[in-house]
Amino acid sequence: MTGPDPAPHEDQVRRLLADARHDAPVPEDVADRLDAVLADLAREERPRAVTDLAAARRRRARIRTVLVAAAAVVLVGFGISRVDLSGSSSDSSSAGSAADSSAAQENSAAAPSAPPDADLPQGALAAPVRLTSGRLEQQVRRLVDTTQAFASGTAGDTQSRAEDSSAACGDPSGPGTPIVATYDGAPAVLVLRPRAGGVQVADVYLCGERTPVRSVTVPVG
Amino acid sequence: MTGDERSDQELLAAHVSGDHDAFGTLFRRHRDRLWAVALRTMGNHEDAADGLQDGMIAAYRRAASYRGDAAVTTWLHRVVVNACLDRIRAGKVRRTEALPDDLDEGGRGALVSADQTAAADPAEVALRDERRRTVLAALATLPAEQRAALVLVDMEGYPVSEVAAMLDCPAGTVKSRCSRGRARLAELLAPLLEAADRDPDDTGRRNPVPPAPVEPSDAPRGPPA
Repeated sequence: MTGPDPAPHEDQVRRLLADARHDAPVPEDVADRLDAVLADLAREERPRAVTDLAAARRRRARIRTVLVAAAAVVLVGFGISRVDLSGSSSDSSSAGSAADSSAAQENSAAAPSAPPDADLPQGALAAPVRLTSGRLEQQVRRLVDTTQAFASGTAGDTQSRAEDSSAACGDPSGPGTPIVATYDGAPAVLVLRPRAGGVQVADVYLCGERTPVRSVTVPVG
Repeated sequence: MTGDERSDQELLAAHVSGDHDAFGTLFRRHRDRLWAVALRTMGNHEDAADGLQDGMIAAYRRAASYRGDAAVTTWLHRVVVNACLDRIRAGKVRRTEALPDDLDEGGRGALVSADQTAAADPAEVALRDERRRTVLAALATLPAEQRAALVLVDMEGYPVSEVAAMLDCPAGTVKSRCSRGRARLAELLAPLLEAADRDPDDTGRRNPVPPAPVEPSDAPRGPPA
């Protein structure tokens, strides 16, 4: 790194860092773990037998019913008129109630005109799920935990919700379950990818964008 | 080794097209360097394994978003580093005071670099080992973004421009993070630096020679010399 006035000892620090470089290959336990996860991922992607399509349609219909019930539980349980995952509940495990209250304030200030809710979903949560950049991971985890039916997130589910998310926001690529959302107040789609290796990836797409603006990985199971 | 001679971009394209083995071949090709970055960024074996796995899954899922404007390795590093930083920001890490355990991985050259002689003085090896532990403990105290920048620039030897692509930030930001990180390390490592001032022969090996600026090519990268 060049500069007009390098800090004293900068070169020495750089040499010490270089000397501390890790040269060994990935350990066997880690390699085995990664290979196992790759195998799971590859198995998921294999095309299903034709005879499974009818079962997939029946499963989507069941999941739709479960989502309606789950959304009703969420709405009743939180006693709110719209889905709000801003983390203002007391079970947050993150540092400090100050963060929670500030996030709640941020959310309420950011979306004073959020759509009124109470319509039960017809294929997904009725109101957009509200996501914020500062608490995205916690919000996704809460969403995954609350609506367990989302956890499978198979490719077949994507099709059943396509009309909801595409009508709202376009059609993000890849397998997964899209959920209409807002992200820091902007229209967005949250896509829960099929879980693998005990984790689930969730991608946030702003409307009109073809690449995710943010991606988080949460543990499941 | 599978002997697959397809380029990185060909493998990634094959994966997107439905080749179920292509991504694994690609990832295994670069896994060692990605592990090194994850390990030095996270500071311990378990968190590094978690971060690397998260990054691998994210890259697998988001392969279709790769646009070819950077080398595949740059893109893989970006995904893995971001996964590691996500874990750190979310607090899903062990205490970073844990001493680096890779120094105990015998038989793989962890304690002896390529330019050491075969008959290394055990006392010298122990001294070097201790110096590395001290450096890594100091590195672990830095903010995650500074740590990641120093790992990529000073440890792995990537050019600032490429690290900027990996971290998805301007090159000036990478330089600033490196500068602040080095300044902080200079304070923390003052005893080592003073000892080196007294003994100019004991300054550790030179910085790795940075590789040539990376075109968006598919040639696999080797470690810095």
